[in-house]
Amino acid sequence: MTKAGKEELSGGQSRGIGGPVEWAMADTFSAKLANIVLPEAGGKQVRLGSLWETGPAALVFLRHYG
Amino acid sequence: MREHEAQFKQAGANLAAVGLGDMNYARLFREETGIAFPLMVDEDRAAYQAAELKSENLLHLLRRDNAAARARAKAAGHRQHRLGQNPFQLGASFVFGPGNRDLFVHISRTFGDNADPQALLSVLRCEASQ
Repeated sequence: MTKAGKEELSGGQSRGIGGPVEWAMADTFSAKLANIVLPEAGGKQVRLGSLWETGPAALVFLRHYG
Repeated sequence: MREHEAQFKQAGANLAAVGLGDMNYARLFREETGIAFPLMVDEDRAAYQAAELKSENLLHLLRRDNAAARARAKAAGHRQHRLGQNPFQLGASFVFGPGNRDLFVHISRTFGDNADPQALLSVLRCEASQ
């Protein structure tokens, strides 16, 4: 991600407005989240990055369960 | 999002959700809503913090755009389930691709500010066509 790209990502379309972006650097959201392991409701441990390792993934952060 | 689960599968994408709360809460939510996609529990807010998602305060409930969002949700037949661990936590929607590419990012500014599922699907279809 270029410096300009990061600024755009931080203050532009990604903040609340939303929209297509494409970045592939170490400080992308996907890179920051990739190594986090969370338990799935069924009990299985899931490394988040495994969801988009071989294909795209939509990941939704719920405001709360509801 | 659960209404669009089949469309995400058709678009060749994994669909998953992250929520606060504990395992029992997540299981109950899953049973109540009937979702089939993975629902992960982030009790320590590790993923929420990594994604830089913020919490808001009670005053946001009074915002005009929140009232409009509540009316839209009600008209669409959505109902409020139990409040979670932190009812002021804001959410987000992402589409990520292999190689840690961010294809779509929407970070909520207030409670009713949710991404349009069609926007996510559009990005996925575009990715699949390349």
